[in-house]
Amino acid sequence: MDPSSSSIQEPFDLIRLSLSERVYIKLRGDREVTGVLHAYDGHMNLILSDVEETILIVDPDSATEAPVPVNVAKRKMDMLFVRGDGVILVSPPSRA
Amino acid sequence: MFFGFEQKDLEKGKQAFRTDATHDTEEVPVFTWGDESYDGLGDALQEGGDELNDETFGSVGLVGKDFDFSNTTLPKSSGLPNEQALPPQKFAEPASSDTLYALRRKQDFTTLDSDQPFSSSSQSAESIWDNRSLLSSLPQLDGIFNQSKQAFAEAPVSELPMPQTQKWAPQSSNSGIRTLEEIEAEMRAAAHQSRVQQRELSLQQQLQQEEDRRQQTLHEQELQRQILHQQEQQHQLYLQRLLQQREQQYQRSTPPRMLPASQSPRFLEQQRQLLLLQQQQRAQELQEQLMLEEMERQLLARAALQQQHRQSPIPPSHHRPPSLTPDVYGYQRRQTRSQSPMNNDHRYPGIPQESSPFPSPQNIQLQQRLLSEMAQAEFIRNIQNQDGQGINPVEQEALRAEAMRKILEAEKMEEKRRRKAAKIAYMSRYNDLMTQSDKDFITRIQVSQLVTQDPYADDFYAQVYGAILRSRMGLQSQDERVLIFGSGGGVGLGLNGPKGGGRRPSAMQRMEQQVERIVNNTRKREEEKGVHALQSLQGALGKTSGRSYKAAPRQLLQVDPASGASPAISQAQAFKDPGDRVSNGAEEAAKLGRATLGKAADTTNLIRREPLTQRETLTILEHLYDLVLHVEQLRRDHSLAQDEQQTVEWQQQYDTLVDEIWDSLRVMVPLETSDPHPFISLLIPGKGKRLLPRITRHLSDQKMMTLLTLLVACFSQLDVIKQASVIDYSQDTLERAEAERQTQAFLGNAFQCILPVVAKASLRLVTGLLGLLLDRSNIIMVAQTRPGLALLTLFLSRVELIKADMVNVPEEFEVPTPEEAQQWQLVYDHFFQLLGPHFPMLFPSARMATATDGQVSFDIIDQPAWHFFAALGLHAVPEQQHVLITALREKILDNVTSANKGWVRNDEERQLKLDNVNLLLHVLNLDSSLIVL
Amino acid sequence: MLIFSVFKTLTDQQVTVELKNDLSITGTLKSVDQFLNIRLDNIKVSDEARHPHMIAVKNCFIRGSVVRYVQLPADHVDTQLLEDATRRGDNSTKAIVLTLTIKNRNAETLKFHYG
Repeated sequence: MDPSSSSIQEPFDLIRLSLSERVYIKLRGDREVTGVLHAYDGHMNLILSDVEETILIVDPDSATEAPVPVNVAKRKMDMLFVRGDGVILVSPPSRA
Repeated sequence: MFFGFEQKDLEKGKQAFRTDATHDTEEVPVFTWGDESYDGLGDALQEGGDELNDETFGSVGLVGKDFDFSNTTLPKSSGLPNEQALPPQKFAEPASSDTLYALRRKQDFTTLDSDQPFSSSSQSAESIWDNRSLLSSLPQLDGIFNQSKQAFAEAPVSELPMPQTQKWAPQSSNSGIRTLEEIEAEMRAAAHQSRVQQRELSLQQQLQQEEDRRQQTLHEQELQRQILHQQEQQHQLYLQRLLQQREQQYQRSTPPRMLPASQSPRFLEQQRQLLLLQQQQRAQELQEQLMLEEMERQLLARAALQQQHRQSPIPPSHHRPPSLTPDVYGYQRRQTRSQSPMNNDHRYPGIPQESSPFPSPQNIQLQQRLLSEMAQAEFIRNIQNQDGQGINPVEQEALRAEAMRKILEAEKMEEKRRRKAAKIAYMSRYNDLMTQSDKDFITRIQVSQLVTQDPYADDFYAQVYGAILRSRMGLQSQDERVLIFGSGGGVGLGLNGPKGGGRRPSAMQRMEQQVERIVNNTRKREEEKGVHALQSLQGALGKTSGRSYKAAPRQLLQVDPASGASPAISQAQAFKDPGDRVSNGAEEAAKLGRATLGKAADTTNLIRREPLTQRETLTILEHLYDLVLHVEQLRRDHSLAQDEQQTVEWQQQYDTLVDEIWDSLRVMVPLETSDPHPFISLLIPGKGKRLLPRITRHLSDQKMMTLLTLLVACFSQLDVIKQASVIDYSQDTLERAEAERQTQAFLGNAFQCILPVVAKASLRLVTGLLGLLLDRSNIIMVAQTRPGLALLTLFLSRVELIKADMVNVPEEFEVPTPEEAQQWQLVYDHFFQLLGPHFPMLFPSARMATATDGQVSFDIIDQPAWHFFAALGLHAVPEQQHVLITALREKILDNVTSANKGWVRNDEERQLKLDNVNLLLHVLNLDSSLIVL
Repeated sequence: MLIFSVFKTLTDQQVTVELKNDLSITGTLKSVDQFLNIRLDNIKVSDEARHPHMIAVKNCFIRGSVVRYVQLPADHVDTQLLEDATRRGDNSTKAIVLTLTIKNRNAETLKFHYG
């Protein structure tokens, strides 16, 4: 029995591995969120705890080059529902 | 086939392609798909699964009315009313396009059937008429219906040609459907007698229909089950009947009236339409032929008669009517009219009843009979009227014109019929695209969106959450009691209290309660015995005063810190036994512990592996969660098992699952396979820690014992031990928060499930476990962690309980042998010796002291350490107690001084400080109040 | 349906709904539907200076699709149960078979597993 390959077939299986683990989520609107994943559904609606959100405030004037994040705003939330339509990616916890 | 599809045989096509491709490539390049680079792999494709194509797409190319969602998709309960006729069905019914005609028919029907026992005539005849798809719901009807229908069908048709039956036979024979309808109506009438009385009012009827539909929804589930059950049998039955029918068809060339009373609607529909079309065509042809023949015959006869008349003077005996054309239809109509005065079909003389789209065998038989009768009558009349009424050329011409008109009319009718048939074919072109199961599936989805039959399927969270909430409210008082009693030691640092915590009293709290209880008991016992432990400790704590020693001269000893607190001296005093003997004891004990592990501890044939990766661990854990959810479900279902056999089956299923869980836990993997051991790897993620208690409640005592031993043997591999030092940093980093969370998870879950095992453990086992821990772990490191301290406290308090039981209830208790007791003492001594120099560092506050901002309450943090020392003190011989007190002297004095001099923030903190100190001092039969500063 | 189920248990709790236009509304969750449309009572907009038109509004109905986040009261979320519910939902066919037989009278055993 090779546990690593046997049961992961779909993307959601991978997300399931991260259940109850800290995940990194990239969202629309230059937002990132990390938190402990407690629930997800087929729409990628998520419920996370111990959330830290990072908003990259991009300077619109520097349009000539690649937009550089001018400012970074962070905030923390205990328990957060994230609506799935804003989710760009869900990343499993990084290997420590 | 009238509107059949061409049968396409895939295999044949492929075959053809192959042949052509190999032999005739040049001529038929299209078969190579016009591509030189075609690799021919398409031929290598294994095409299978075509067996059900016919089932799916319709076998004979004939199409039914499967797309008729209005009626066929929803299964019907027996005796349901007709659905309202829907437009497609109206189209599908050619005759109904002529509304007036239909109306007339309706009246006919009403009148004619009034003597029928089953009077469904109350229903709109049209809706009955149109409701062809009702047949498609036959499989859903129960056996009674089938039987009655069969009975009806078996009623011999051969006795039809009675004069009375003639008038209604063409109508009743217009459709076998209507008779089915009637039977159904009869059944319904029997079931709902009250309804029959109100049948004239179509409005009321609609209400009834709606009511029925409601009932239908209610019974739907049950019906579907029935259908599933029946379909298997019905399929067989249907095949049989189909064969019979075919035979009958060939024999009589008249299709049986009885339609297959079974099988899926689609088959029925197909079969019925096929039959109808055949009949229709045959009837039409027959009709035309008969008419032409008849006219020809009459013309010939007349010509012959004229000749006869001219040649012989015998007068013709019969009278010739003004119109000499044999009017079959007129005759029929006349007869009908004569018997049913209300029949007003004379208003529509131009429409022959045979234009009805459903000519039946009886119809044809009847026509033939009528024709022969008429021919006779005509002949007689001709003979009667022959004299003086010779047919002149004008008359002959009129006759011919009449004949032409008839022919044209017939052609027009035929054309009309064709158009209608084409329309039907057009409309039914997508029929049979879906199988019945497809439709059932969609119906189920639709229904499931409306109603949730099982709230737990879709609403699991809310349902269970509600149940927990309710039950917790019921238990609230109890929970509060536990929380108040459990002094908050398990809540952790009080920095990041567990979210939604307090659900169960933490393992730590329970254990600390136990320690407190033991301490109190010990104190009482000591007091009863009158043993003065104080004397041996007098020097250690400086000036002490004891109320109990008031009689004795007060000893005011000013202890020189240097003399008493030297660890080296203390240690030398503390251990009477040579060190090597102690370690031998520990090794013995470790062996003992390994024995519990069984073959897991076997190091022969060991294959060392890499430890599980994070991803492997998580995958195994999710698999375990699946199993656990399944097992928990099974446990809930246990009450559903009714008889013994079910219970046995249930037990088998349960055991299989538990075995699978046990295997997946990898406890039996050899001890040295990897570092960390696979089982320990599974405990590293938080969800692994939280999963353990949900698993262990399904495991046997023996398995739990093994699990505990493995856990102890690999204790230092745990993340909560390895990374415990992170918690001692007071900076609020992410790592620290994570380590804190993991520690909480471990103490609240994984640790909790070993508590009951240790609580039942024999002295021999505890000795073995402690020995194993000492042997395999860096005990100094382990003791400087909260889980480590908790485990050690657990062992010590268990042994104290065993000792107490030996004294109190020896008869109920498996008394340890003196050897076992001695073994324990050896291991304990070794443990004490190893840990002795590090006693002060076991206080987390001592480790954190470097960078504190004073926000953290050391007293709460240190509480577990105080508990540990109390438990340790219980087993200490006087010399060891002296060492203990000496090592902790500063800490004790610090606490007492702070409390007494008011260097505290509040009373609570003061009390906490004193409580902590007293916990230890009580074991030594001292009290903080005895300490004189 | 899982998320819907969760929101149902949070009715009458204080939540903060953050919309995709950065409008943040705190209020009492009164109801929610399967589209996660949300009805809030006693609302307060976080940055009233930026959204003066909202000052007078006391309750509102929010279309689910315009929601970015909802901040939930952590005390009223049972994370372990949530994870279990997610696992069940993940292999839904299995879950349906499994849950078909659960009835209310099993609430006690459920409590045993989760309580």
